[in-house]
Amino acid sequence: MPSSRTSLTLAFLLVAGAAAAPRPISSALTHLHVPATVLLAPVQQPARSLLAWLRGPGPGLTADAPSPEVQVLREQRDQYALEVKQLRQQIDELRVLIRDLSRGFDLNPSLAVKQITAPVIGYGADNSGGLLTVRAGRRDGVSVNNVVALRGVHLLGRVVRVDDRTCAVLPLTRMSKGEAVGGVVMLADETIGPRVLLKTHEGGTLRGQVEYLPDPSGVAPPVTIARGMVVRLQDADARWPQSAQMLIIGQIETAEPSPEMPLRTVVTVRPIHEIERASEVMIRIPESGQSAERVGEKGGTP
Amino acid sequence: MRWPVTLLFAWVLLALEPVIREALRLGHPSAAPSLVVPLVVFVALFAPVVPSLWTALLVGLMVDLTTLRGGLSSTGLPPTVVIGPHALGFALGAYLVHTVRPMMMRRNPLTVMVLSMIVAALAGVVASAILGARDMLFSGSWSDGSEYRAMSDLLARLLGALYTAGTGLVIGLLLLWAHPLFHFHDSSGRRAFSRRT
Repeated sequence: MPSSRTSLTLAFLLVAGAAAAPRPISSALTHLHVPATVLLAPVQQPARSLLAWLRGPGPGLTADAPSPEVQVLREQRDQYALEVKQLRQQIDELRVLIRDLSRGFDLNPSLAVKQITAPVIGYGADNSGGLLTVRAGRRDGVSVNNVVALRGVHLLGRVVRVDDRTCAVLPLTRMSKGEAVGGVVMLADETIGPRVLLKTHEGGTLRGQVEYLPDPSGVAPPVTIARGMVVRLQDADARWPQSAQMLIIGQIETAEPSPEMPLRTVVTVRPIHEIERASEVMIRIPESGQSAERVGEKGGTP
Repeated sequence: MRWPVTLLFAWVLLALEPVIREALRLGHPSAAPSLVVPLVVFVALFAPVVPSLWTALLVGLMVDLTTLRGGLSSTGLPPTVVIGPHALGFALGAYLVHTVRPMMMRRNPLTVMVLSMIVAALAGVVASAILGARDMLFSGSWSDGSEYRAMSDLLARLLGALYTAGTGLVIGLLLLWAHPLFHFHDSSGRRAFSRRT
């Protein structure tokens, strides 16, 4: 018994030491995260799938899509709609590129992305962590800053750590307080509206002030921002990779006048699907040779 | 105590914990119940002090190891695990249960329920204190790379502790039903009492 007490005391001292250790030591212990997650995956993954099945399709699909076939078709439709939007944006950017090239700038906005589907194998037992562990890693071509989507077109977050077989994903709603994501309010399916700069807000939402682009003619009617409008990512400052552009951030939950500037509108955006409850995600990987994407080229991080 | 049985229960409950927490989560800051705290309480109620502390320590270590923190681009640091907050919190909770268990009706599921709530609150305070202290003490490349919101995290943990009463009752019933499998040496309060007298 004394030996077991000694070993217990020793274990306590080690754990207490680890708790008080700064990042250089704790990050060395991070290598144990993957074995611990993999150890629990055989039970966790079926349980998560069972729960997803019990819960049924997400709120964006429940209204009139009872059959799986319709659901698949809708997902394909959303996917194609996204590609159309991305192509349109690329056309706009190519126009800008032509203009820039004529001025002597060297830009490379072309992009090809492959998507891989991967199951979420861990959220961590403690909610305060906030990162998802996904079963796709370096061997699948995943790298840091790859964009992660839900149901193909809904922005979930980005990869912040990659191991050989797994990666860690930081959800959009867990960004740091000072970090902003640029989006555009979609006035209709194909009509891009004003820009909005969103920051994390309470309750798993994002909040920001809608910015109106100056109308050169000054005769355009005022745009009404309403609850239910979709907000897509369009980050002019390239804080997010090119492969994330035009992905759906969420729907406007509230739109109210700004307390400081009553003529401006402040919107609260909630992701359509609860991104922290995803059981399967899609990782958007730029084709080889383009892994840096625009984010890397500009030297920033998303 | 049969270690394989305890470890098997711990493994299943640890794996189910994040799934059930996400499913039963209420609001933001998210209050979510714990599945593993009732197991820690149950073992501490019936096992000798050293095995119960080892169980608490191991379960807490697994919770710490499976939780990545940080990774915010504003810090530029990759995510990391922080070992200790739950391991030490659960161990302290197990010791508390071991201390008060002579006054408890150990076979009653309500005991597991109430003690689960208390242990979850205690472990939550310890975890918040450790994470908060790290946030205050370490900065730059020594920090965890997260924006730790101590008060909202503590509030979520305390609300989660109240919520744990529910899972404590359900898992307490399950564990008390499976009690013979654990083969605790002093599994009966009456036997322990008669040995002393």
